[in-house]
Amino acid sequence: MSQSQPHRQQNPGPQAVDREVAAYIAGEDAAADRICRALEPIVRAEVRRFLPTTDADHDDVVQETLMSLIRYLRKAGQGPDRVEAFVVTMAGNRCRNLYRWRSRRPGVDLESTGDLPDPGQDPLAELEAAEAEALVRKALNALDPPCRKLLLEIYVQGRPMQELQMEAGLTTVQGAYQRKYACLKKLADQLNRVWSEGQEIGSPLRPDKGTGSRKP
Amino acid sequence: MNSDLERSPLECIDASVGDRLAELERPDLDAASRSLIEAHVSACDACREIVELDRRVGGLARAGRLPQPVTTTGSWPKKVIPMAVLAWAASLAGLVLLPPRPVGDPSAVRGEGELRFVRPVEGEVLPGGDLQLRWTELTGAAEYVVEVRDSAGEVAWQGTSPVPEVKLDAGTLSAPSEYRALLTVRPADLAGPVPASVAFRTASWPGVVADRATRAHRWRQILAGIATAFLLGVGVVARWRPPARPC
Repeated sequence: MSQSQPHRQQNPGPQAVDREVAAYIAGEDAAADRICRALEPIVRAEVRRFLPTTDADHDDVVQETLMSLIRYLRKAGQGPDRVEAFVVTMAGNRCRNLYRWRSRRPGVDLESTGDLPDPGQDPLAELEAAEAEALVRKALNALDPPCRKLLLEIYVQGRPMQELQMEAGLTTVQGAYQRKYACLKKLADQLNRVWSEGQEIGSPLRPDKGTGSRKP
Repeated sequence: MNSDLERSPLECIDASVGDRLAELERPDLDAASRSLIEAHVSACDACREIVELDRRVGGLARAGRLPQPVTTTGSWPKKVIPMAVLAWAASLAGLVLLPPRPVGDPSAVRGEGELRFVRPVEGEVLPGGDLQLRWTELTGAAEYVVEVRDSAGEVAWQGTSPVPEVKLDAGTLSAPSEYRALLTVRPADLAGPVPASVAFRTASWPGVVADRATRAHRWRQILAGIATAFLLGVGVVARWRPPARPC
């Protein structure tokens, strides 16, 4: 995965990539390099939409995205339906997370931060945790009342899911869990909205290990 | 960086798996599915954000930093409203349809022996349509003689009935006016020499309702008042929404 050399290889096409993906999942480690070489151009193009090629983190995001795909393939034991769309979305998300990270800590060189300390170990992390808490509270307040009620009943009151299932007239407990996660998704959307509106400063969630905001 | 683009929300990298996050809570989830979903979460920033939120909100709740959910008060009043309306309607019906208190001393019922009017009661206001007069039945009575006189003492209607009631068709009495009904029995020796009598007047329906409301028995007025207050109270509570309590 050369980052500075121009890419001379022609895109082998989706079917060829799918074959390499299948080979890698089957245990052929060398296929990983071929997958990365095949997908690097589209990943790089997506990252370019967010970051100029001169950005210090440009290559890191590309590299980390591809590495993350490789780890995913091994762990999942199957490839995504459309690996190109999969990896491009992954790259876009990493760029968005990088933006959040930079907004939270302007001027901090990611390279110099090393492993980020856990909240509670340094004042900056504590401040970050407090801000994240404020954001979560704000997002909860902005949530539609049924979802907010459901989440507070689950987390604060610790009501059993079976009870919530019966109360909602759902046929299975899994239905109640689906509702919980649908509400968490809405909460995540609200969180992003609150954060984007600039009502709070900083990233709602600190990028953790494995995101594209750090050198591998 | 392109801030508009960067500020856009994270996207799930594979919605067909991302939609299955809730399955992670299933203890009976098969190993392959669990591996797939967990691998997805580790690769998908959008889904990891949701899982992270699950952890973070849970942590805030355990630390007592989130409020108790506001109990929705809007649900039970809505269930009670039909009952409240029913109780209110029943109390109003009782108020209007049941006979009012007779005017004056209830013990001063005119008429000898057992012969006396049941309806109307003394001083009752009746609607101007069909009128029904009822009285107590006397054993051995061949027929009852009824006479209705207006306020000037003129006979407005008279007739006989073999049963202890008589119905006057609409228009028989010129409404609205005050009347007195007199009742005797044949053979005459079954009752005393003084005919049973009752005073009443006819009026339009609003007048009848107003009269029933003011002269209904006290316990029916109290019941109607309670039913009305209950209905109003339930209505107010049902419309009231508690203010959003900030977290």
